[in-house]
Amino acid sequence: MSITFGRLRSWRSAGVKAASDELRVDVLALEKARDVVESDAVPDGWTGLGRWAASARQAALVAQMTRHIEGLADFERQVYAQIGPVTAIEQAVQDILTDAAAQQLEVDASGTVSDVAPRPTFDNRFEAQEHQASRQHAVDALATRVGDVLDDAYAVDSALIAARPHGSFSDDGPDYVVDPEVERDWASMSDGERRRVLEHIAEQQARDAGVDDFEVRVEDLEDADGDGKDDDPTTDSRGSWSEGDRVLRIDEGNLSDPTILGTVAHEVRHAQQHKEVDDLPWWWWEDYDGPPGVSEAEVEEWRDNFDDYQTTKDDGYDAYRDQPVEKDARETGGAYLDDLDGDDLDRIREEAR
Amino acid sequence: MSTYQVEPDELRTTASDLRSAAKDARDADARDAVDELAGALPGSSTASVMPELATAWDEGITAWASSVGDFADGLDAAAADAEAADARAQAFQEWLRTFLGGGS
Repeated sequence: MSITFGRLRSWRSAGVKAASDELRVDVLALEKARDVVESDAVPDGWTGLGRWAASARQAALVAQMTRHIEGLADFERQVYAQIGPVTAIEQAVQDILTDAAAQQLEVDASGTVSDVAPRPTFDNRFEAQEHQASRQHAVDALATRVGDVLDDAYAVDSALIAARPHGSFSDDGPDYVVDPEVERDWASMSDGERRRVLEHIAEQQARDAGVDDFEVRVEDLEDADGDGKDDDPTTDSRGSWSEGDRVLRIDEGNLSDPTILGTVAHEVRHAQQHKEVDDLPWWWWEDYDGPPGVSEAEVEEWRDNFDDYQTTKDDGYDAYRDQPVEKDARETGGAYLDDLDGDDLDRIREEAR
Repeated sequence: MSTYQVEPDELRTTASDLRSAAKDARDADARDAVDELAGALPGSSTASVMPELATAWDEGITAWASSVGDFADGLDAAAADAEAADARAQAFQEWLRTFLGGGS
């Protein structure tokens, strides 16, 4: 799914306003429910261990809901802020269609502008050329306006996607969400450029993580044995890190999917996890020196997990997905995509050239 | 050891308030708002991503409301325990009075 001029014709600011209003009502209702738990759940006269346990449980419930409310309220504010831009988009689309009709031009669903005026006859070639030039000028001017309104729509979409709540109840939401402008740029790139960009990101991420001496290969991971058939149709192999031969593999069948950008960060994280396990202190006088935000206990958990790695084939998808090294790599891949916007991708494309 | 110095009725009222809050939270799911937003912006990533996120919110809020409901159940149970303890103490006092008073 992507934003096209055809779909833009159905954008409605009234719907955005209604969503904002409903979200605000939801936020108020959740705040009220949270406040009841915060003020009433533990009666004042309750003393002893039971009160202590109940207070701890109450605090956890209040904190969880507060985090969700804060995320939802921020999102609602961003939805509200987009009412104006969507109103302007609605108006711009209408103006484009009106002007197109007046000039005997047509804008199709993809946004392509064409001249549908009957061909007049001219007395001489000069007049014909003049007419043709003026018609082309009108087509180009309208095409520019179509491009501008699409840019505005992508800006609205990017702002809303960037403002979506994280954490608390959003943890089980979609893992890899791509900025709409990144998605738009990715769709316009050739497979060759995509490969270069992915390799560049892998090298950049690896450098930041202190991982070196590895190779990036874009291969058909769905048919690793080369028999022309999908090795396991129940799984979607998007990428892998092989510690043995130090190869980061990316599935060529997923090159057109922009979430593959997060997959690269995910696989580099696996390389980093192996490095951190290797670097764990061996002697008692050595200090732990792991990456920021990762405790020694977590790295030890990775070490134990690598020793007992769960595969989808042998242990089931949930066991694979929920093991510590995969959860951590998934968070890294998701966070990378969350931070990547259209300007970042433009810069990376330039660097990867 | 845990001690209640409140009336069981007060505990039950609190439990009822908590159940009410849990229900209000369940009713405040953002699904309708998100569906409205998705319908207003067809073709956008917002339209494709947010409904999945709203499902996660609804599940999270349902689990939260369920925990609040469990909390309320705990208060009801504590109220029942307090009443039972009162009844036992009262029965003991009556027995003691009867025993010491010689049955009069």
